[in-house]
Amino acid sequence: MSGRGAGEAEIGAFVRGVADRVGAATVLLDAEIAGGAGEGREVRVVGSGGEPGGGPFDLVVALAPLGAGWEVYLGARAGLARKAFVVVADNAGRPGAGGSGPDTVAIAGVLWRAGRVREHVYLGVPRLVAPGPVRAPASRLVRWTAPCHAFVVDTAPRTPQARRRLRTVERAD
Amino acid sequence: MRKLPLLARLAGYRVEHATGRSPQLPVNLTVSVTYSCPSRCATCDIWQKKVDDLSVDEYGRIFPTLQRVPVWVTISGGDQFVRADLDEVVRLIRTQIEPSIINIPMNGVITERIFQLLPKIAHHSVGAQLVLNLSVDEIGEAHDRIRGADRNFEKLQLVADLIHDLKKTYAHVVLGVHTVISKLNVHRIPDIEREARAIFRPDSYIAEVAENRVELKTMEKDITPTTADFRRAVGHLRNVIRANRSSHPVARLVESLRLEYYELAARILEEQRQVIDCYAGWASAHLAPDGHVWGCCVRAESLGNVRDHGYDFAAVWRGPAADAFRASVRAHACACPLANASYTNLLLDAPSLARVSAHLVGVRG
Repeated sequence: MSGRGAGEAEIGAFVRGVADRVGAATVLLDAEIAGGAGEGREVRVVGSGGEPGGGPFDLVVALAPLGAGWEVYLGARAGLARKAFVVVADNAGRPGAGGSGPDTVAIAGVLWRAGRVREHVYLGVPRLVAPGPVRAPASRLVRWTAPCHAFVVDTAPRTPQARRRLRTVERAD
Repeated sequence: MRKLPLLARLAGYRVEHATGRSPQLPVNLTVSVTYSCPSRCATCDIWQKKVDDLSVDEYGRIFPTLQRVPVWVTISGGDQFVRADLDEVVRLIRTQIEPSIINIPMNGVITERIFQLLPKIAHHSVGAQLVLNLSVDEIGEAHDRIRGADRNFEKLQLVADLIHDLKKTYAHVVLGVHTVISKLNVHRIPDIEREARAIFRPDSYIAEVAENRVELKTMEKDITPTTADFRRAVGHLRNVIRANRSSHPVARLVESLRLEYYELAARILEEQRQVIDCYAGWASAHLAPDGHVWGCCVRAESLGNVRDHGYDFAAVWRGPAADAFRASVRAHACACPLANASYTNLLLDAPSLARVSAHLVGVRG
């Protein structure tokens, strides 16, 4: 999981913060995260990109490098998320990061189909640039120096009408 | 065809305006995709008009004939989000016209459709700047009354939140707020502007005077404020722009144009004449929902219908009705403060362009 340039502790703290905010009782992780990201919760850990089975989970965290077939991988993982879906990816917008995976727009296209992207945060930003994670929209300096970034997708129904429709379907079932 | 540099294009319009030579295609295009609208605004009766809207397939035949000339495309209505295929229209505009700026004024009424389509629209428009302008004519329930739409203000806040979320992953998205200054709100503009900025946190705030337009079926409505009231209102807006210059390049360009536009609009209302030459019919054009091409939406006179000309915009643009319209505009037979056309008019007037440029780089306050 590491090798993204952001410390595991920073990623773990970020994921833990999301889990707290959405009130996640069940979490699916691609890999164990240092710092106890799933602390106090029912956590299932699968290997990088592995098949978890079961679900759905309140929170799903995708940490595997976004290589070939990443759109299918993210789509499948998002489908397992009841409340939120977190993606941590290499920042392809960084100069010299060519070939290190899809850029923000490409990832956004997939994630906005899965739900509403509530947060986009740059991680591992050099201390000279910012003292910690930086939320987008971010300055060019941040976008050029952060080694990785994370997205938080709200996968719950996003409008009152959609929630009503979902309740109707659940009753019919 | 590759895009000519804008300055070269503008020089061409000036020559054509002066000589009557056959015109280039317009750089500033408004595409009205429907007249249908759920709002019942006190300043607009466009919803009463019923026509056979152009389909996506028809747009797919029209847009290539614009030869990628337009750099600024406004997608207007009616309420554009009445159309479930709006995202496809945007995709065609982006791929077949390739404008630098796509501008969508929004009333925020049909929230579920907006929430479905706006992420797709943001994605399809990557490569251009997407300016989403929320229509805010008052604050709270007073807005709902002017717009004739229950809970509209509350819905606008939901839409603004969505746009702020989109900005986190789509850097080309710009959030604007737009107020129509009418007799109903002209004395409240400073408060509306201040509260709208606080509530919606837009990248830019702009306003336009309510006027009698054929397109909006408002020719008989008493909605235009007095020139003195309008000048006071825009005086405030100019001061606010000077005090709060945006760092976002597109928002800053809009502000720079607005600084000049507000003064121009006030003078046109006062003097009832073309204060600077109008280039509607040369640099700017309007494609109506049913395929009619207009030089502008204030006169809304058909220059011809693309459906009758094999969906060839250029054929209509260079036809005899278009020539007659241009001759009339050149003779100063009309005058109006229409913001969209005024933008290109300002860029085509050398002193105005110099002032806009100075505003842009911060030389003028």
